[in-house]
Amino acid sequence: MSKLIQVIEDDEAIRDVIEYILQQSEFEVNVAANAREFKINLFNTLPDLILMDVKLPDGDGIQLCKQLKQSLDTRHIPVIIMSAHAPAEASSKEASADDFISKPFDLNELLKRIEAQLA
Amino acid sequence: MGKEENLTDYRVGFLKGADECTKVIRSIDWNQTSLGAPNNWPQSLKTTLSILLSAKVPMALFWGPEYIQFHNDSYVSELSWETRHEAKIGQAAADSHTRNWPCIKPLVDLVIADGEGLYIEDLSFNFCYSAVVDETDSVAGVIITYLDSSSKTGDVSNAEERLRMASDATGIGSWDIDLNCNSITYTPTLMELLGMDRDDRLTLEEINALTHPNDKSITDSALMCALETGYYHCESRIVWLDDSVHWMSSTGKVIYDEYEFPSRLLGTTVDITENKIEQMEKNDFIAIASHELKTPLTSIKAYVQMLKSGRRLDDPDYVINLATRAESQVNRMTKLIYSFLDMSRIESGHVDLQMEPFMLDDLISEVVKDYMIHTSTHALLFSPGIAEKIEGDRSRIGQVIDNLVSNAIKYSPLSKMVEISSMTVGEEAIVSIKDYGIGIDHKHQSKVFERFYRADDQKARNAVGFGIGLYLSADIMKRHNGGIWIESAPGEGTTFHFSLPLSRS
Repeated sequence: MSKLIQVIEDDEAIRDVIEYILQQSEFEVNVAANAREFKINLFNTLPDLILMDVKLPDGDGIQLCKQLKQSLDTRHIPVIIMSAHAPAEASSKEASADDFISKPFDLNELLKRIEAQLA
Repeated sequence: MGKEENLTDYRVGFLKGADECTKVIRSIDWNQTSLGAPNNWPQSLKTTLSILLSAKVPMALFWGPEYIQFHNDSYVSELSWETRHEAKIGQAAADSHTRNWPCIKPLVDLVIADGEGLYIEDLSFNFCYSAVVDETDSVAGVIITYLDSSSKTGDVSNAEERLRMASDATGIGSWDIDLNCNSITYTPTLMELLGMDRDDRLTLEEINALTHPNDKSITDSALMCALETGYYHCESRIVWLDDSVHWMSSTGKVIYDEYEFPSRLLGTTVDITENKIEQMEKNDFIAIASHELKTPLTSIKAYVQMLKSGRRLDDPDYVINLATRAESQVNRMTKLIYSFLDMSRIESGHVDLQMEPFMLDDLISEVVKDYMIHTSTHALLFSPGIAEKIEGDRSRIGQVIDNLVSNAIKYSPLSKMVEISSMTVGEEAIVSIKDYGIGIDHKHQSKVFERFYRADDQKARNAVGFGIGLYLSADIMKRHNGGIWIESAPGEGTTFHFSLPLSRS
């Protein structure tokens, strides 16, 4: 069975392109444009990996990651944080994120990082 | 004739005095000069000299066609910057008064010609020139009385006082710390900089306690550095009693005692809060701008990589779709870059408007249609209501509408609708853009049109956008003699309105 990846990204263009690429690589993909949609998705199904933007219109990816890593139900799920804001790398480490990828990223690099977390 | 003989000879009348200058006059062999022996001098000269030699203010006399010079002890002690005085008494001024004579002679000549006195003010002395009339009723000599003027302008304490007043006027606080007993003296301006009354008295300890807790290490290390290098420089925050934070820049110099130990630290402090805030806003702006530019770049890079991979290139729809998406992101970046340029144009005052009459509702419809193509998250409802043309720069006003619509979408992620309406009220066209988003609380509402402003709370901070859109919009409205304002309640949504004069003339 293919792995399920949850993407949280508020920029529509980036969200669409990530969804397409992951589907091409035979992943199942759930997308959310904001923190609220993400929480609804999470309530329905726990993904195998979470790929998350930092700046969300209704929340902060770093804070969300902290919450995920503190909860017994979700702490085992690898979280990759992506951001165009360089200082976010340090704060994503503090939030116990499993990896960080800076925007703009290379598609192959993104897939490599995802596969490394799922291996 | 020997000197002793002279002394006895001239120890008469006006030459009896025991002062140094009288002694010099007595020691001179006057028979060798054009004036001859003192007992044969005209009474006017004798009387003048008796006044001059006993006067306690510096005085000098220039007598006769050769300007023979006389002066008193007071002149010698007060005008010590002059050359040796013994050489001057009894000599022609042109020979003896080497340093100042070229300046004095024209004035002396003027007094001799007019017979009237002169009063000249200078930095350290005021000069009083008086004519001496001899027995033939002509001006035979000129007395110069030197009056000390330093009590008014010149002395050191006065200079310090003036410097202090100047620094006070420019908001510079001066201070002097005694490093041995850890005490401080300062000007009243320092107290003002610390948020106190000018007359307040604080100890060094109390002043140090006002330093922001996070900056204590900075001020400590600045002091350590000063003790090593002799120079003090520190930028740190001060917390006023009302909890407001102010940036101070202090510069100082260490004064050493005779054993080369640091004994005092002299320095000045100025408030640099405005500069600091501007600097931080600029840094914020660069961070936000680079984030905003990287976002479209991320999807453009992805589209290009997908095309480069060579997959599905035989499917024209796929290729056209990717290229169209890439193009729209390139347009987005272009818009961003133009708004940076607009901003610098505003700052330098170079905004030109291309005024023309046009239908505002048509422009709004164009912007709305464009958004409907690219936006899947929100429905845009437009209710037009302006039948008349307005006069303005069509593309600039389009920019304002675009900005307000994009904000409405951006700041209402959980709602699905943005409502736009237009109407005529009196001589004005009013356009309203309403969203049902996160809203802005009252205290932030007046600030949203400021440069770099973004709501400080977590929710808004993480929303995309960089606070120059509303600043640009407000500037464009101002240039059209229009207005822009906001109605908002947190959690309920925001309505932006702008107004433009109708073109009825």
